[in-house]
Amino acid sequence: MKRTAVIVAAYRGLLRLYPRTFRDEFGADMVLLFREQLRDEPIWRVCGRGVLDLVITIPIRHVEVHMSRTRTPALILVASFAVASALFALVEGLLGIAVAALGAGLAMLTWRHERPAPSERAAAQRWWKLLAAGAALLAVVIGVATAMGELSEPAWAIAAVTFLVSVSLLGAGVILGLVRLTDRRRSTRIAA
Amino acid sequence: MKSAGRPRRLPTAALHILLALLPGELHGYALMRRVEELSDGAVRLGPGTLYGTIIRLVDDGLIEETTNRKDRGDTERRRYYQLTSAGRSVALDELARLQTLVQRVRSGLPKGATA
Repeated sequence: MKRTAVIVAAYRGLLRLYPRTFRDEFGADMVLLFREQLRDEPIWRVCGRGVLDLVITIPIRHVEVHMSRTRTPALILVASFAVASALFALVEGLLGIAVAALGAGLAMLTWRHERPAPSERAAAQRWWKLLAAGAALLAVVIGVATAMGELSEPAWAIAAVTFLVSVSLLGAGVILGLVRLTDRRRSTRIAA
Repeated sequence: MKSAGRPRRLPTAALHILLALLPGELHGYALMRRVEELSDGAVRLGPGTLYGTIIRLVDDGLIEETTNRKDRGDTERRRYYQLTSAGRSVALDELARLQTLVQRVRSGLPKGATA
């Protein structure tokens, strides 16, 4: 129960990254909805989907706010370009992660044949450091966003980038943690 | 609020929200679940996507927030949404278009093929 409250508080903090108008209109409803999701579905699934939703929709809402403020064609063009760039970066990032994961998987398979003691793999042993760094960065983003209230444009950009970095670190930590877990199981099997 | 003009093409999320509201008003979470159920889990809306789409549909005059919140027994403040007459018309048009599409595709399938 306490864990759910912490997650909801973190989500509420991250909602500060949305434009104020959108947040004032729907912030309370979004928190209520997120809480109901947590009640009915596994936490990991709700958090995963929630983070993805934030990553995709926060930039879009900001661009929409800019477009509604001024409708000059040049700005619409710039805004469209920004959205396209963000989407392109997102797709590129996902592709990059997929390629990196594939490469890492192939490297691990090769390594596994060469090294009979995979538990000594240094990179996988550092998973908790990445996880801790990601969590710390996420906590900083939430804390600063909560403390500052409405973020200025440069602050919002920094917060958004930091948020993406923290999510990447958390993801890398989870992946390496899983690799470590697999290694330990394998080592146990070999020892037995 | 803009005039209730029919949009040229509805995005997937907007289309599903309109179809989900055809039977009657729903609040945000119920709407999200209904969309998931209607699409067999293929369309899953996050809170940001859901409310971002809702705000656009309200602006387009296709849905509206309902005001008759009495006797619901909700302990928390909820906002319910329902189709406007323009929204109902758009949803029914889209439904008819989809039914026509399915019929045409089925009629073109070779005998023995199942959908």
